[in-house]
Amino acid sequence: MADTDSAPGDPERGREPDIAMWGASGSGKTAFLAALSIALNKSRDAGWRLIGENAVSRTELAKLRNTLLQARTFPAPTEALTHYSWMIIGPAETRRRWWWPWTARAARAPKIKLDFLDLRGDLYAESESNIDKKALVDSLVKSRGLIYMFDPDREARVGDAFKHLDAALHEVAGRMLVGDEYEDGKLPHHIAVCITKYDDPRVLRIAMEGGFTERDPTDELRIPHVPPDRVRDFFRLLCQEAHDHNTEMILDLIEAFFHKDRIKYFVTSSVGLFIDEDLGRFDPDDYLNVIDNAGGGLTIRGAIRPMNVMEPVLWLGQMLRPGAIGSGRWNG
Amino acid sequence: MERLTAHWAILGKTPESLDDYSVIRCSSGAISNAEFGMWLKAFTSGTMEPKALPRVATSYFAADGEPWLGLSLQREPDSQDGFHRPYAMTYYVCVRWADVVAGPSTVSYRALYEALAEEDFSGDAPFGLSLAAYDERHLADQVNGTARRAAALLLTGRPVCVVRAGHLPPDRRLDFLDAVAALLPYGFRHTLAVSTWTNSASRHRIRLSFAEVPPTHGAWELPWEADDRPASFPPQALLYEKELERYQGDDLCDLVGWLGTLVEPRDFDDVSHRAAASRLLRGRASDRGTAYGGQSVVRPPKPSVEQLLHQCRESIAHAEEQRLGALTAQLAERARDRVTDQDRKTYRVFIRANPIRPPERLSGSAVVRDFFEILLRLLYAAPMHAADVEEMLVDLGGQRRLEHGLSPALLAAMSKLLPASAPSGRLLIAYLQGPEHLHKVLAVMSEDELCHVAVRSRNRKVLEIVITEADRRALPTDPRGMEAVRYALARHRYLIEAISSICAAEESVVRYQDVLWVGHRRYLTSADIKEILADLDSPPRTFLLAIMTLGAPGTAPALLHTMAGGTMRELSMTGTPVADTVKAGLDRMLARDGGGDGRMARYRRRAGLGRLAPASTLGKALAGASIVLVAAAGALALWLWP
Ligand SMILES: Nc1nc2c(ncn2[C@@H]2O[C@H](COP(=O)(O)OP(=O)(O)O)[C@@H](O)[C@H]2O)c(=O)[nH]1
Ligand SMILES: [Mg+2]
Repeated sequence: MADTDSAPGDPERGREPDIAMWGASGSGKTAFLAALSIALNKSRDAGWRLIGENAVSRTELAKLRNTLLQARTFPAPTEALTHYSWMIIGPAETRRRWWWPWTARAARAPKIKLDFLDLRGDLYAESESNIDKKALVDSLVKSRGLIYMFDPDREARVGDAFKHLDAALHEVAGRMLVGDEYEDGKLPHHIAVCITKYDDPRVLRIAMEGGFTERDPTDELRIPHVPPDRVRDFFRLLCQEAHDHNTEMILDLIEAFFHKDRIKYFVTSSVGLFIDEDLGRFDPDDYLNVIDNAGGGLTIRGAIRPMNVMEPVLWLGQMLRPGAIGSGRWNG
Repeated sequence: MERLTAHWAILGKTPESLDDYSVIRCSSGAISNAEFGMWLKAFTSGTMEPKALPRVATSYFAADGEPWLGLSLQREPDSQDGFHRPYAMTYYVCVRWADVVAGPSTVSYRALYEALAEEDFSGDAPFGLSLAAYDERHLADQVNGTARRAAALLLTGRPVCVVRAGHLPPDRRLDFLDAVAALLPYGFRHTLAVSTWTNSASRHRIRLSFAEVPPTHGAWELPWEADDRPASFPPQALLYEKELERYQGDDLCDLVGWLGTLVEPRDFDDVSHRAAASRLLRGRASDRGTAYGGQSVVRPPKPSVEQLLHQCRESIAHAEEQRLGALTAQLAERARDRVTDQDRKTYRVFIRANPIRPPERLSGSAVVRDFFEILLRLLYAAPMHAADVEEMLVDLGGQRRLEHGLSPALLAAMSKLLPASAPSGRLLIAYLQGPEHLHKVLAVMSEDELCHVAVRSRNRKVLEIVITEADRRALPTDPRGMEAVRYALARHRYLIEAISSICAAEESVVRYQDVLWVGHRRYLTSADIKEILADLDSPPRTFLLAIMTLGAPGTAPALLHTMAGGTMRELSMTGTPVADTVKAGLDRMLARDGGGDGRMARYRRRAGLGRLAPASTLGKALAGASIVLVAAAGALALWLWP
């Protein structure tokens, strides 16, 4: 019956999450977290791992992974503020001293501790007195990284991303920017803006038809991807296609609240595109990886190949824990 | 069978919805859709997991200051949202705490759960739940070592998380939670949230639950039916557990029955409540050992004060005078016991949440008056002060302003308390009852007493009453009356203590003006000013300003000298060379031809401009006075705004 992992006075006690997930309901926050460990395992520089820092986070990590890998479906809709304490461990690097390059020092694996906060998307719309909301805003004020999920499909259908983001930003800005601490009037967070569900035909088609996609010559699967320098424009285009005119302003909203050099745009997919194993490469006529099943639910059809799931997290990791990751191998 | 009115809500989604969980239907009335949403979500304990469903949980909240108890049932999903995700519906009922404890029998979680399961959650009317009576036999049968330990650990104030019980069906888990609650005084259910399953990664507010792994911080991890007690087991919990172990079979059943009658609301976050629980149990053990010769006897349950108040409120609402009379007698008995300040506060919160408004036809009822009299004794410590009376207006009248009409029965009850009240309370009560009553009370008070009350009570209304009365007494045609008022005011430092603590700066000046005017009825002469300031140490600046507003012509020198003298006295500078310099400076400032600075005057004299043109005496006097005033104002400015 020990008092679980730590005693009172433990500095880890009540630690606030570093990274909070933002985005409307169904934008893919939980699926993204579920795909993270798969993404790390599958990265080209093999050897990345995601582990839970305590029993709770380990159990949850296993559950999320199993949902995708075993049950081959997506996680259930999130009901409560959920807190994951995870650690990302990189491949050990043998390092040589520049002034004595003949012998290598003992290998050291980069480690980044990252706490994630997953939440209901509508929390910001709730009244001031809501206890969960208070907890959320409190931890956002202390966190320094945000993963903002933009779901083009939802936007095309309901178009409430602007409303959500606007409410969330004002909530946090209201708490942080009234004082003198942030004189430039911008929030101190780093924000990874993620366009989600890239594998969804409704998203991929816009990318291909808009001429945003390229083929990476080193990728034998020939998956079309949006090169990093074009993601922002792609994002702008998606915002313009949205159901709601206000969505067009999202980009301006983000750039008004955050330092330009602390914003990075990503095109992501938690499950990736379907690749026919026999063909061995991307087939523009058959890439649907999420299909309806007999029970009316969704099934993931083929292998799970997360796209740009690890990248935003490692980028944030590097920004929040400079020095934790030795070389820039992963972000090349 | 117990019948209770329950409000209800469904938290869920509609098929194909793209939104998060929300309240999709609820009863109308006491609790709004938004409130339901807030409380239901506040007590969610993690995303549903099919293996953990159905999930039953309890929660508590206060709406408009009134405590409620809720129970929810989350069922297995049978539809999908707009993202093809299966979602689970949560059915929720809540009942007023006061209703739960007012009935002949209390209510177990199982009874509430079974009643909920009977309902179809349609329409928008609240349910009338039929609840099974508190079944101590069934509850006692569920008690095992884990339950005893869980109850004991809850008394440490930290949540308890039972692990390694995933194999138990939800029904058994609910019974277990009920049994743990039954091993504590019933009043703890007032702040007890339990759940048959929680996810420890969620930041939930459930105090007692089952989970796969315990939360990382703060909670006790309690493995199901594991015997060994770890070394870190807290001694207070050990004591309670040991105490519980002494009860088996029928004894245990009696114990559970007895604990079920202890319905005064208790808070797990209150260390004194937790300690009291241990004392209660030990006290019972020693009672059994001595008075009853080891035989267990269930004492007839004594209703709590809240229960009684609740019943009184109902009988007033239904104009049942006879019942009210009987209840008032019981209440009077409780009022004779020691009532702590904490108790009084609890009762007042209760009354505020459950306002008592006698119907018209009871307005003259002596029974209602007696009830109010007892109520006042319960709610406020004797003697009643002005602050109590004002509190009472909020508690019982629902308003801050004194002028609003109160129920005649309450007024009558207050007049019975009048003799036993403090003077300030007496003044306010009399004021509430009307001008004649107030005059009667005022008539027997001396000027000295009046001022004393004003200073002591530091109450705005009392101050107002006292100044008005002083004004009435200090008639210019009655020199003795004026003298008495002036003397009393001076003795009580012109009510400075009261005024400065009640009024803001601007209002203070006006108030001091009133006080000074009442005492003198004329512009203040130099002698008046000297007399007023002679006895005052460090008069507030607002007071000095008030003197200035009332100073007669030509009194500026007196004011300046008195102020300077007072300051030097206070700073123990009287008789020092500096004091002489100040005095010389003042004389120069106040000299008739003083005005500009010295060099200027010298220059003028040299240039032959020193002699003034002939002018009327009045004109000269005026010019001189204005120069003096300018100088005085300059000096004052320095003195007032250092
Ligand atoms: N095609 C596709 N669908 C996704 C992806 N990620 C999420 N989804 C869909 O979006 C739904 C909502 O995802 P979820 O992570 O629960 O959203 P959250 O409410 O933001 O946590 C899932 O049930 C999937 O149907 C993705 O990468 N590709
Ligand atoms: Mg989610």
